[in-house]
Amino acid sequence: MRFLDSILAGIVLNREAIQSDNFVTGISGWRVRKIGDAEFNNLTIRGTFSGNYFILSTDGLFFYSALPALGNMTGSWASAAGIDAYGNAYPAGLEIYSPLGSIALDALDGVLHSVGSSGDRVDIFDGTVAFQKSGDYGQASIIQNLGSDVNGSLTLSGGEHLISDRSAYLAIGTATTGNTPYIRMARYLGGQCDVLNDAIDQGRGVQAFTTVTANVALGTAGTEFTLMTLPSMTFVNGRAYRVDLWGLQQSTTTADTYFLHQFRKGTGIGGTLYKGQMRVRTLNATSTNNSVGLSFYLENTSGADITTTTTWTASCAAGTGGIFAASAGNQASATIVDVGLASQYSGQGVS
Amino acid sequence: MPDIPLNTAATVTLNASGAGTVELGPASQGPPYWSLDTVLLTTNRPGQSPVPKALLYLDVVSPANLQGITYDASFGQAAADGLRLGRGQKLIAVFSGGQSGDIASLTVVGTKSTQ
Repeated sequence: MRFLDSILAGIVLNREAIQSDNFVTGISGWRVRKIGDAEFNNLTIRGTFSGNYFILSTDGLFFYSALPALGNMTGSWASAAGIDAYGNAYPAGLEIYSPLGSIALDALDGVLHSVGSSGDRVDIFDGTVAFQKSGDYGQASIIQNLGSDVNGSLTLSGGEHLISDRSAYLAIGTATTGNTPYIRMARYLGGQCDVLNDAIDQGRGVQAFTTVTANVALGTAGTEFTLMTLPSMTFVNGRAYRVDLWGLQQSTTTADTYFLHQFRKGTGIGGTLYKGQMRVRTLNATSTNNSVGLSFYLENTSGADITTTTTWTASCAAGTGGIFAASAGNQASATIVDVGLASQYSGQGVS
Repeated sequence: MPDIPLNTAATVTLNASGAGTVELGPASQGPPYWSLDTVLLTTNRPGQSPVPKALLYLDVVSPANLQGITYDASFGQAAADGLRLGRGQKLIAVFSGGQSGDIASLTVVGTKSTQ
C-alpha cells in the first residue's frame, strides 16, 4: 500500500525535521526541526528579524526588557532617530536607556574607543578615561582612583566649559571677538567660592576698594577728619580680612610730629573703632610728603555676618597745617581683602 | 453477478492521547470479497497540528501484517493495488499523535464481488 507520504500535512511538517543532505550540526548544511529549532549556514533577512525581546530591522537594532511595548525599550542602535511600532522614541546612534542599561567593560581588558577622523581618541578602560591627541597616547588622562595622573592638555573649543559638582563650578571661557578668556569659580546660587591650597583657605580676594585724588585738610590739631570711606561690604562670620591703607601726609608746620590714623565702622568719625592708635610720624619739615603705608588684619568671629561701610580717618598732632595729600597722579587708596578663615589669623575682631 | 462499487468509511474519535483505531472489512451479509483500489485517511482538521500518523494492518495489529504507513493521516491517500479482503478479514487503521477529540476516518474505495 503506497501512500504519497508528503513531508507536509498541508503546511504542517510531518517529520521531526527537514534538513539538507550535508547537514552536520555546527559544520555544514541546514536543518529545520519540528519543535522550532533551526540551523543554517548563512541566513539573509531582508525585512525585520524579531525575537521575543529584540527587533532587528532596516531601522536598527532594538532591545526591550520584555515583549516590546511602550516604555520598555532598553537599548537601540539606529542610523536615524525615529519611533518604533510601540511608540518608543529612539535617537540616532547607540543608546542605552537608564536605569536599565549599562556598558560593562572587563576590568583589565575591556576598552571602549571613540576615534575621530583626526585620529584623536578617547578610551575608557580599567576605571580610566584617557584622552589621546593625534597618536600621542596619554596627552591627558583621568584615572579614577587616587594617585591619579593628569598629563598633557585637554583642549575644549567654543563657549564656556564647566567642571561642576552641581553646587559650584569652575568655568573656563573661550575667547570670542572682543572678549577676554577667563577662569571663573562660582556657586550656582550665587556667592564666592573658597580656594584651598591643601587645607589652607587662600581667601576670596578684594571685597572693598576706594581711592581719593584730592587733598584732605586736617585743619585743627587733635580733630579727627575723614580721609576716605570704602563702599559697603560684608564681613562674613568666620572670615579674616587684611586692610591696606596708603597715602601721603604732610604739614605746613614743623610742630606736627605725627598724624593719628584710625579705621572705623560706618561713615564719618563716629563709627565703632576697628583699628586705632596708628600714629605715623611727619617729616620734620614743612610741606614735604611722607608716605603712609598701613596694613593690619580684621576678623569677624561675632557669630553673624556684618555688612557695613568703613572709614579711614586721621588727625594731626598739632598746629593747623596738616594735609592728607593726594592727586590724580598720586592716588591714596584703601583696600579690604578677604584673606581666608578667621581661624588662620589672629586679627582684630569686628562687631 | 457484476462487481459492485465499494466506497465505505468508518470513523473514530481520537482519545486523550490522540490515538484511535478503526477497521473495515466485508460484512457478514452481501458480497464476500472486497478489492481495494484506494485507501484514504482523513481527520476533521486536515493539515493542522498535531497531525496524526497512521499504520495500516490487515486482519490483526502485528508487524507481520503491516500494509502501509503514513506521517499524514489527516489527509492521506494510498494506492491499494487491488488488495483483496475476504469475508472475515479487515483493514485496520491505527492512528497516533493526533489531537484528542478529533474525528479520524478510514475510507476504502474499490469493488465488491462474489468471487
